[in-house]
Amino acid sequence: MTMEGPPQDSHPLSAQEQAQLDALAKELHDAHPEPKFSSGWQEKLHQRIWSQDQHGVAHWTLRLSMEKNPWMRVAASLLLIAVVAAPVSAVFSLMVGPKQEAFTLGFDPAIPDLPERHQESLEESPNLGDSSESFHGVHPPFGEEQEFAWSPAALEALSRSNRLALASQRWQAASQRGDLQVSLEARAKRLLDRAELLPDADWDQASEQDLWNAFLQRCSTGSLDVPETALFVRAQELRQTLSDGAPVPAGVAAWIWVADGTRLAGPEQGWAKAPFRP
Amino acid sequence: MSGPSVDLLEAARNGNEGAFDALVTAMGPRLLGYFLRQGASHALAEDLCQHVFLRILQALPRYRPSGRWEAYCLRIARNLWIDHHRKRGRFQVVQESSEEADPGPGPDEQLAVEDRAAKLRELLAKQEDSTRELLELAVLQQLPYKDVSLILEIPVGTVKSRVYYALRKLREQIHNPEHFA
Repeated sequence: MTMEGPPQDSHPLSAQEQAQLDALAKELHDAHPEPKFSSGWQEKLHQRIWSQDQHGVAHWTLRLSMEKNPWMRVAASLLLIAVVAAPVSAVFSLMVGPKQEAFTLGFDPAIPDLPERHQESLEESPNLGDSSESFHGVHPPFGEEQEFAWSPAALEALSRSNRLALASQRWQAASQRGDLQVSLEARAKRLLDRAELLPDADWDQASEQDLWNAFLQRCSTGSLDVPETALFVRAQELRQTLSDGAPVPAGVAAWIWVADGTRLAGPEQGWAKAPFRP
Repeated sequence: MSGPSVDLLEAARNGNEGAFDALVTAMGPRLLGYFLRQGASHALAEDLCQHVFLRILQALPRYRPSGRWEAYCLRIARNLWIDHHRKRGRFQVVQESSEEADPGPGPDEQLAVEDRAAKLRELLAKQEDSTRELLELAVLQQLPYKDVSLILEIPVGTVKSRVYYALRKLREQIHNPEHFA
């Protein structure tokens, strides 16, 4: 037996020492003869291997069957994927899924870019609380910055403006009737020509007829600005001059109605010549 | 590769009982000697040999005859021995090893009655585990240093130097047994 040689980093072996070590290695090898198995060992191994192989059920192990059968490996892979896929996908969706924005309650439409058809249906919905019908298209006599400045005086002015608008609307409707159109238009034209009945006129000396003409003028021209306070004061003065039970003239009744909305007691004869009833 | 022919291995892989028996006959005694010299009792060594061949039989479909057949078998045997070592505990193994290597009477009387071979066996049994395993593979099993380095997972140069120093130490122990007693 010959050794493969000394290590390179050691002192070079002399031929004599190399021979001594080779002889010692051979001697060591020869001193260990191969042992023998006890009798029956190989038969026992033979039986253990081949008899088990013949009874595959007893010999069956998952690992061995997976090594031998590729379909077992495929089935095991599918099973593993099915078991792992659900939790993995859940965690993945939590990590990279879209964040759901919190819904904020409000009065604006949730989807501002609705098609026009849907926008129309929203506008027509009675639940939106649109008060345009009750006001007949009349806007408050206030700027946008004063939208919520609802002082009692402002509310009163708004009520007066609304009632004047309502009267104007009914005037417009009545003027559309053929039998009244010519006479009303002619009367309105005459009223417009009278400068003293314009809004800046002096109402302290105005007569009942002047008040009536002013009322019809405002209705015909659609001037819905809040009338002057002096006009209402004059209407109250004229009313107080009337005796009990006397009919209230139309001009007085109209402005009192615009002022406080109350219907006048009595037969209200003055309303007879009016083209509308409040 | 060396050892059994490729045809024999192929026949064993295909389930030829005779071919596998031939493999067992060729390699079995060497494996038995390996386990005995590692300190196993004869019964334990035989049982471990059966386990080695069962593992070889299971691994035959994946075996590629690219290396040395003996080294392949001895690597399986070494892994089995390490597993057994871990399960049973080192103390018990060392005890068994002491029983096997027990020279009986005192060393002086033993040297007087035993021949040189017995003295070598005794000295080898007294070596450290790593040295005994190295000499087992490189000298007794006569594996090339390359295969020994693969089994022990150390560089080839380290195998060479360790074998060299192990033999020198063994030689000194033979010549001066009192110094190492």
